[in-house]
Formats: sequence, C-alpha cells, structure tokens
Amino acid sequence: MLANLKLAGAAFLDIRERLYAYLLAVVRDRSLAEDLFQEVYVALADALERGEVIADLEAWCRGVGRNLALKHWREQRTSKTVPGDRLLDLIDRAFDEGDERLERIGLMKDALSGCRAQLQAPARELLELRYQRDLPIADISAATRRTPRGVITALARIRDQLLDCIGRRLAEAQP
Amino acid sequence: MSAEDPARGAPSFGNGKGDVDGSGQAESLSELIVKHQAGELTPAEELAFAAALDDPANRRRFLDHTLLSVALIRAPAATATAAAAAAIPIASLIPSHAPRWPWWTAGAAIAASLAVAVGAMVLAKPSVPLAPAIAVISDAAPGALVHRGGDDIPASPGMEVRDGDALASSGGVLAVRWNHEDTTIELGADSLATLREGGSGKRIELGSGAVTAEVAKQPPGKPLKVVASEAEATVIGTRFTFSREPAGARLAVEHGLVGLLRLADGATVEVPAGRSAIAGSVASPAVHGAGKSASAPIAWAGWRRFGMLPVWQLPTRAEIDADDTAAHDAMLATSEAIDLARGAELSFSFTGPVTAQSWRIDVLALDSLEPGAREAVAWEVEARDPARVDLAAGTHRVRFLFAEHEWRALVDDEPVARFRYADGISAGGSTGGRLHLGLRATSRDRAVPLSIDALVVTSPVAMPAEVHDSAP
Repeated sequence: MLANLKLAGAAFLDIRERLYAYLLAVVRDRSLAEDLFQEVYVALADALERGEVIADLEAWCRGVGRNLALKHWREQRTSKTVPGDRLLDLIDRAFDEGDERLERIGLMKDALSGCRAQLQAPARELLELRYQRDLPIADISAATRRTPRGVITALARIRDQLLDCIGRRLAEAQP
Repeated sequence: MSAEDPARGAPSFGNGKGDVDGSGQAESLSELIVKHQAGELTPAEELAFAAALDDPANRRRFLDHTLLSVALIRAPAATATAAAAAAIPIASLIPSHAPRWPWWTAGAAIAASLAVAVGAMVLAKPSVPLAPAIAVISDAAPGALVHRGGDDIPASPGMEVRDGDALASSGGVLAVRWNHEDTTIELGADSLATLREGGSGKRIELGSGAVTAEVAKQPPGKPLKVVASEAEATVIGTRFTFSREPAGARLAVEHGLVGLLRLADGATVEVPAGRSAIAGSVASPAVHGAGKSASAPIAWAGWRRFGMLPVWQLPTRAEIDADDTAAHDAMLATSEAIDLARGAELSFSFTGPVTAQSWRIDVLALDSLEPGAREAVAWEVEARDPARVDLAAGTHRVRFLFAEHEWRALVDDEPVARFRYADGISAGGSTGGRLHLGLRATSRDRAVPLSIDALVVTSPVAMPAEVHDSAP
C-alpha cells in the first residue's frame, strides 16, 4: 500500500506508459491524454497529502483518469464522440485483464522498429501521417487521395501486419 | 480471434482481423479500433464495438492495438520516400488542430538538389567562378547589402543569393526566399548572416543581429542549421527567431520543435513552440517562456515527454516570462532541475487576481545526491488563506531560500513557510540535493489571467554542462 509520495512517485513512474496507454484508449487524443496524465499525478499527490491510502496504484490512477476525462468532456461540451459507459467499462476490463501484455510494451516498441522497416513505403508513410503527425483520418484522406474508409482499412491492415510481425518476434525472443 | 498460445504461455499478436460478427459484412475489429482511436465511431459502430469487446479475446486484441498505438506514437518518425512524400502538398498536411508538440519528423521531402543557375551574372566578377544560386531576395530595406567575392552589392527584391553570400541589413529588414521551397528568412535590422547550402543541408551563419525563419520540411538528413559562435540550431521545419544577444545566442520558437546545441560543450536542448532558449558560454541552455506574447504555458514539455524527473538543468541564473491567459492551469517550469546548495534561491514575481484558493505553487521533488535517498515531496505555497499571507491583488514577489537543513518561502519578503528537508538530504557539503522544480500556478477559476515572470534561480555551485532527457 502506498501512503506517501516518495513511494508513490516511483511507482507512478513505473506505470506511466501503461497509464498513458489507458488514457489514450479512453480519450483518443494524445494531448488530452498527456494533460490528464499529469492531472492524475497531481491528484495522487493531493490524495496522499490528505492521508489517503492507496492499495492498487494503477487501478486508482485509471479510475481518477477516467473521472477526469468525464469531467473534461462535461466542461468542454466537446463535439468529439464521448464513449458510453459500457465501452468505458470494457476498456477498463481490458486493462484489468491485460497485466501480462501491458508489461510487454517496452518489448513491443523494440520489435516495432524492425517490423515497420519491413513495410512498404506507402504503408510507412500512412503510419507517419497518422501517428507521428497526428493527422485525423479526413486530412490523411485528402493528402493521400484515398477515401476515408480506404484510409481506415489500410491502417487496420497495416496494424494487423505489425501486430503479427511483433508477435512473431516476441515469440522468437522467448527462451 | 487472438488467443494465448498454450505452448508458450505468451500472448498472441496475430489474428483478430476478421469481421466482428462473422457475417463478412461488418467492419473488422481492427477497423473499428482504428475508428475508435480516431474518435470516429458512429453510435451504431460503438455498439458493435462494445459487443465485440465482450469477447475476452477481442479485449486482448484491443489492448494490443492500444499498446501498438503508443509504440507508434513514441517511435521515431519513419522516413517516407521522397516520391511518396513529395506527392503530398505540405499545406495539406497541416491540420487545423495541429499537435502542440510535433516530434521531429522526417516528413515530406523537398527536392534538395539545386540546379546551378546559368543565367546572366551581371554583378559577379567574370574571373571568379560563380557559386550556385540558392535563394532570391524578396524584400530589402534601403541600405541592405550582399557581400560577394569582396564586393558589396546593393540588395534589391528579385536579386539572386548565391552560396556563400553574406547578407547585411541596415535599418530595416532583409527577406530572402529559398529556391525550390517555401523557406523564408528575414534578417532584422542591422544583422549580418551568411547563407550556404551543400550536401549536408542549408546553413545560416549569423554574425550579428537576428534572423527569423519559416522553414519548410527539410529532406531527411539535410536539416537547415542556424549557427552562431555560441550555438547551433537544427531545424527540420518550423518558425523561429535566432538572435545574438549579450547573454548568448537566443532561439525563440513559434511553432515546431528546434534542437539547440551549445558549441562550447555540446550541451543540447530541444526548444518547443512558445518557448525560447539562450545558449551562453557557461551554463547549459535553459528553456524559457518566449515572452508575454506566448500563448502556451511555458513548461508543458517536461510533462509531455514524461519528464516527471529532471529534463533540463537550469543554469545558475534563468529568467522565465510567461503569460498564460487561456489555460486554466498553467504549469510553469515543470521538471527543471538545479543542484541544491546552501544559499541557493529561487524567486519570481506573479501578477494576477489573488482570491481564496486561487493559486498555488508546487515544488515537486528533491533528490539527494546520495544514491537511494530520493525524496519526492510536494511543497506548496498556497494563497488559500489570504489573511495568512495578506496578498492583495497586484504583483507579488515569491522567494524560496534554501538553507543547509531547511528551506523557507517568503512572499513580498514576509516569511510564509519554513520546512526542514527530509532525512538524508541537505544543501551543501558532500550530500547536496538536486531540486526538481515543478512550479504550478493553479487557478480555481477557469481562464484567469495570471502571469508569472522573472523566475530567477541562483546557486553558488557551478552547474555541470549537461542536459537530461527523461523521454522513454
């Protein structure tokens, strides 16, 4: 159990990528996910200052992150689609169940570079537009002269290829 | 759908690509995930997506995709082929909601090969081989000159600029547009800069004054560099101003991200939009707010790069200006770090409405230099009780004084707080600490005009010339 910020700070850093992944899955906006990430840390500091004892830091942070996201959406009255409670619950469940997978994010990153290099240039370009430049589907569609549906389908296929490749590499790397 | 491999007990990353309902009509799970991540699921699709996630195997697949997205976001940019990238108009790649922190991207390649001009070279000496034309002057105030081959040639709009030409502005601006791309540079008054272009990219050597540049995406491996005797800025594509000042070479970035290298010791720092950096001759380059016109908070970078702990080291003295009138929660100077020494002092002034619970300042963490003796604490000076610190609206000066075993906070020279360091940490002697500053001005009212300026850190110890980067 965490009862002081010294321990919690180190533990928080250990789960930062997993927490960021969760926030990204919920809000689907990397800037907002990063804003919420730091707000979760501040909330953690406040909670510990109040003397709150936290048994499961990761679950606690995810819960706070979800509430902060809901609060953000309420305040912003954003036009972006807000996921319903059922979907949010299922996202929570995926993360609750996925401890083993979540621990492999570093290995995934390592394997990704080799897998990405195997892709054709247009596929790499599409990934760059979506994930490095953070362009919305509509902008990628306009820039690449594909239909939005075509962009989505292409991205889905590329991602499936990458996950297949990453899976193979991780399996080969296992003793 | 994916399943654990019982033979290995390892998660499978394959499969899960089929249609959600098995009918062959619905979009695949992967497509729904892509749409979900893009925030583009229709209500009906969200229902289908949620139904799919009832299946544990699909939840695992969803998790894999989420982690893949994080890995893709964190990965260095891929290099698009020149042909593919060139087909994409640069302007079309700039979204209306462009990310606030574009990473270094080896984006659209612009044809880098420059044709050697063979036009009439009226102003050049016939006996001197002409260097290639690399740019053209688009605006020149009276008195501006081009130094070429020992001659001073009056600059005028339309005049070619050749590799190695030195441009001298006088009382007004001198603007140049690079050939074959949308890169423009503008010399401020009384500035001197030499322009070069070669196999390693473009180079602007700033002798004096200031240069503002709007740089198109540069070809991979061929960045534009702006060089002064103190520092070198490497640019992929952005808008920035690079100037020489008494304190050193100053880089202010309007958008994009520029790497600044201090030539004296190789220290580097990445300067994001809305911030600036000065590379002097002694301390590490420090990132500052880019002045009161900056619209962005000045210290998001540390957080955005997951820099909970040190990202940059402050020099012995740093001044930060910020005016964040839009954000409801201005994070200031987050993750800066200094070596803590007896006598060190952090001070700044702030101006803004002071109401109950209107603002607070946190200092996030303190490390001992002794291994394992880290103390992560949140120090707070909070105006929750105006009577306690008696703050009227206006400008106030806050100071943190670091003594050997304690630190004190003063507001307008009145002590408001006094704390002892945690065990194992002291300022001075052989076990000095390292202070990670995370100043956070929090307004309970949204969109409160609050400015914090003149953040000054002084420390009697010499700062090592290094820049930390805690990015994963």
